[in-house]
Amino acid sequence: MIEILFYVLSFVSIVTGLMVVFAKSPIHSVLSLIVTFFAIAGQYILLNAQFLAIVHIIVYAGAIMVLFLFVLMLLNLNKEAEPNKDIAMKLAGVISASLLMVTLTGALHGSVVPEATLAVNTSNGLVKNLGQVLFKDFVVPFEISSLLFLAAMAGAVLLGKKHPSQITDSEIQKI
Amino acid sequence: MKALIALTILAVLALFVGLLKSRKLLLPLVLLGLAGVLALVMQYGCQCEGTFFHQYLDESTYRNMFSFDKFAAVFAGMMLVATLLISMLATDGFIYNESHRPELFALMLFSLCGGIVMVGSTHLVMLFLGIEILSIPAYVLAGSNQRDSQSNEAALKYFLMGAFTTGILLFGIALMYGGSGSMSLDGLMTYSRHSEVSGMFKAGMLMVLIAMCFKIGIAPFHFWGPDVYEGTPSIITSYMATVVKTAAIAATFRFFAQIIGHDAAWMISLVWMAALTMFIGNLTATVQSGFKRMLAYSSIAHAGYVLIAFFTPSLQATQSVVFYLAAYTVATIACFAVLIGVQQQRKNDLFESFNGLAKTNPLAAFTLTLALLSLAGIPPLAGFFAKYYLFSNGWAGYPWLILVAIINSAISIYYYFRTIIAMWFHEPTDEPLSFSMLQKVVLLLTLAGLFTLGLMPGLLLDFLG
Amino acid sequence: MGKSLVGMVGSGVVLGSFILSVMAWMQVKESGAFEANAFTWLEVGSLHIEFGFLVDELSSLMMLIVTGIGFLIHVYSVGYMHDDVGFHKFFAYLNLFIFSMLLLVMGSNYLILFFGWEGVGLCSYLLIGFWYKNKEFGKAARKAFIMNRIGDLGLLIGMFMLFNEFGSLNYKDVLGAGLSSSYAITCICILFFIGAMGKSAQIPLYTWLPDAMAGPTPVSALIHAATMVTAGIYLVARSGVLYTASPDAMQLVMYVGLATATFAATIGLKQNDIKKVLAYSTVSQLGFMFVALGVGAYTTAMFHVTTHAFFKALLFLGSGSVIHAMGGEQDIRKMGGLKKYLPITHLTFLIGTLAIAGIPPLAGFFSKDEILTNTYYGGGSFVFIMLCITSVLTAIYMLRLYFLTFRGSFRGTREQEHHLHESPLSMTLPLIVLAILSVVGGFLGVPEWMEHKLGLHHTLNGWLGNVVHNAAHPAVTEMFEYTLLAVSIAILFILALAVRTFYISRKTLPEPDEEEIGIVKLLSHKYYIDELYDAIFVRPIQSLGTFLHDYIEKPVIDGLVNGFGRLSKSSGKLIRLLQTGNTEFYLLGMVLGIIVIFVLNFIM
Repeated sequence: MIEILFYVLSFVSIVTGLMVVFAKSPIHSVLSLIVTFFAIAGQYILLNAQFLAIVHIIVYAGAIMVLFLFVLMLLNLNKEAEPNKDIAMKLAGVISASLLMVTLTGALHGSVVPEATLAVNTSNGLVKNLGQVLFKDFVVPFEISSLLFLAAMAGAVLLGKKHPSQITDSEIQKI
Repeated sequence: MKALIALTILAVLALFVGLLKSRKLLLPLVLLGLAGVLALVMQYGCQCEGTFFHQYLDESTYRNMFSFDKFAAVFAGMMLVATLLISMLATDGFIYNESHRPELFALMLFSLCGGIVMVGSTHLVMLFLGIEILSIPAYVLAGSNQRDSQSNEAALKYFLMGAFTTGILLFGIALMYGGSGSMSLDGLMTYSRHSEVSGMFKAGMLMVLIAMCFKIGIAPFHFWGPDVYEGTPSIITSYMATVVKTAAIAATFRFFAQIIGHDAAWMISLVWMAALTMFIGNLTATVQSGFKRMLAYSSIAHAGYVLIAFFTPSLQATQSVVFYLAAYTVATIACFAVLIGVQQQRKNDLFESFNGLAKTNPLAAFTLTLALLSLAGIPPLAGFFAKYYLFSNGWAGYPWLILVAIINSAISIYYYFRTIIAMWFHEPTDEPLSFSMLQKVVLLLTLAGLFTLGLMPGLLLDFLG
Repeated sequence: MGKSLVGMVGSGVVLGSFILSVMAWMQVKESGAFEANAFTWLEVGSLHIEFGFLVDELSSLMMLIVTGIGFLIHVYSVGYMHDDVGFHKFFAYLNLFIFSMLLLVMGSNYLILFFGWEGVGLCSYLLIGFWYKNKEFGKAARKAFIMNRIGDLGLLIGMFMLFNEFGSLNYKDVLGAGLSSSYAITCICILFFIGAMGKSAQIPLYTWLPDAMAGPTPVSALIHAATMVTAGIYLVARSGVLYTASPDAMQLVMYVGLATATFAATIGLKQNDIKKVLAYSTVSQLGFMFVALGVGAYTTAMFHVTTHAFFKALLFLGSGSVIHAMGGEQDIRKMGGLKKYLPITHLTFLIGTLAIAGIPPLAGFFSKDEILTNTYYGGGSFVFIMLCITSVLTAIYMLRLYFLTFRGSFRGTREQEHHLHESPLSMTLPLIVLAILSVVGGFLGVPEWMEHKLGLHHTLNGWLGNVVHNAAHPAVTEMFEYTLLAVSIAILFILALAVRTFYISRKTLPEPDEEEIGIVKLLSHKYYIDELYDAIFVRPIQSLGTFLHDYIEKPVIDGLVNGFGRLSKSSGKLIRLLQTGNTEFYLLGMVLGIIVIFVLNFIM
């Protein structure tokens, strides 16, 4: 049962993932991406990580994708806005990506997953256990990540803030 | 950790100063704050006795995530000094975005925090966080001159490629964890030394390595370097060329010199990358017509040299990395200090703009000359000893790589001398440049650094044990 | 900064270091030598060099000389250089010199000595060419620099060999080890001596020193008479243990010293430039010191270094005072009768002359007497007799100089005569102090036979004996000493009378340059050594250089280098094509890179 679900979810996530890339319309891309996220959330649940799955859906599929859609609609992007790509470039991209896949598969093929990894407690994904891990073993990175968000916010403010008009000196263009 | 907290508070304070509109307070605050943090780090660094790496030092407090050992202290100190010097250039450096000066400082300080997290990290999660804290403000800073399309382009390029690399990094971390069941440095070390290494671990390792090579700017992952360096405002470029590079090299060195150092099979791709990097950096630098782009390529080449130390892990190799980066940082900041002046007043960075600088601005010309000579590795300056230590220690590893490095050093003399010749043997074509007091102080400090490191390398090496 | 402030600061710091040197000396006296390591200077492979200092009896003696005489000359310079536009620069150079010289004598290993050695060489170059607008002076500076470099090469190779032999450059490791005579040690000693030849102006590298008189007179006094030129003596004395192990090298040192002493003294007989006479006298006296080193009397050599520093600095500063009064004139044929115009200068100069001539009980007598007695047993009768003759020659040219300059009647222009005046206090005070030192300095090392009679001891021997060990010679008899004393006093007396009669009573003057004939011409042209060097070294090298430039460098080397440059440039252009500016292309490149790396690691 779990195995069948795994393959179904994998198939869905790969197909929708490809659709994200190949869809002509950005709206379709975003919608496909949402489906991909749901499929991945399903994988999480299969791994007994309910909290992660819920957060994944709320944050990515919910918040971030909605933001994407907003931006797309505000900018009014449509088919014509898609820049035309060089065929050679596309071909090169496809070939190199396939090559990468082949080499990665070759590299990972037959590699044994060690006991240590398999023996990881499967109930870790439950909220209670996750909290234990997050606030005990991983408390330092947890705290440090706040720094990341602070920095990102400051950066967003800098980029988003409108340039005050008092600097009209166009001479100082490039430093 | 104390230093990290202090630095974060300093960054937030800088933001608040911006809110208070008391601009005059900003620079003294940043300089004093950085000096204070530096003192903290130095004091800590002097306490650490003996070896560079203490894996288990902070197990109780930081759960093996973060170890502020001597290695971290030395590199944190180096980055703090670099940021301090760069901040002193900021009076003129940030002039392109006058109204957002506090935010620019704050972002630089946040990024520096990321650098410190990186050099102290002993866990892949911390490494990842450090890289992101370092990079995200750097993306923004690269595009902070919003009215300049080149700056915007640089930011976008940097961000896109950086995001691509982050994907690779995370993929690699996941594979490493999948292979070994551990993400902490000592767990990885134990795994890689004692058991049959699985292919998954190996693949993950390579991916992390590739991501780090991107951050350092090692060929063939260097493509972003020249474009981003050129488009970014010069003062930010100087930050990226020194602090960002130092942090990336130090973190890579900590992880890889310890994990893969004992296994020749891991190294072979890195060895070829080092040789390739040197050739690409130096050869392309010879055909540039702009000083800044030349520096970008030269910084790629220097990263290639530093990789030599990765192949013979030992105390001496660690020392040579520290020494090399110190020499490189000092010289690079000197170059950028002059470049900022030239760009601002001549509106370009062509070699012709440096014509006759020796006559019009002797101090700047002298410092720049010595900085370039040091980068080229001419005795008795810092760069010579740095190269000497690096090469003599690396000889035990791959002698042919040392020969390649020496050939490349010879090539590098060509393009470094173009600027020197322009400054000393060409007649001035423009009126003298004016340098602010702080800029002159930076020039003098870097000058002193070049000589001190060159004539008395023992001072730093003694400190390194 | 005002000139007086510059002078004050410049002299003040040297006074400060003199006081510190005295304190260091007292500490050494109290508790023996001490070593201090500032930090590790270099550590590469087996090469471990401390930036360390060693203060023992030998170096503290040198420190006292350098800072003491240095201080007096600084004070003197305040007056002498007062009207010079380069006043500030001059003091900066002088202080740099004192720094380098202290580094030279205080280092605890040969590398620091070498560092100071090059530093003083640099200062010497800068100060000889101080009035660089004069082309001749610039040439003299370059000559000194190049000749010193030849010597430095010897020292440097010697250091390499020393490191090869002992694995260390520290005095402690090298000189503390029990040494047996070996070929390598002889080589090292000879190479060190070549270094000393350059710095201390011995045959064949002496010709730069007389030319170095182009610099301001205080420089001649400080660098080219009292301190820097004795660095070679210090080097040999410091390495005394090595030389003792190599009798061949000592023989070489002795004979080169003897030849230089005699040779320079004969040239000194016929020089007419007041500073040139003193310069040749310096070369000659340095020869004396090397003879002393050559017979293993290291402390004696250091004794002569000390006394020579007193009276030669005195003589140079006195000549400076004369030149100052004469408005820049240096030719003694145009002087005369200056006694009444420059009373203090005259008196101190006379003391200096008598001291160098060896009149008891002035300083020169004791040290020269000690050299002679040591030579009597250590060097054989030929060396002894030659050295005695040279001492007589010394007395002759110094008395000639004295009489021509200060006695008789004035021979210069009326204008010059009107201008004659005694120098200011800042100049005469150092003269007086140095004169006193020249009188009493000899009592630092009273000879053995006087020890009991005077109740004094040979302070210096006992003092330096802790560091260097003289070769053992049988003590000379008292009879010998008395004879030497009596004969030398008699000869000096007769000489003084003769020279006086010749130049003053009969008013014979040295002939003008163009009327010189025979041996006089040969001597006054310094045996044509400069011309000889020019013919056998300078010109062939120049023509070789031209040849190499025209036929080797341009077609071959330039071709190669340019070809290499073109190659790297064109490959650079090729690589640059990769840098398209297109992000997708870059990503593609990166992916290809990843693939190659994976293939390398997994498939291969």
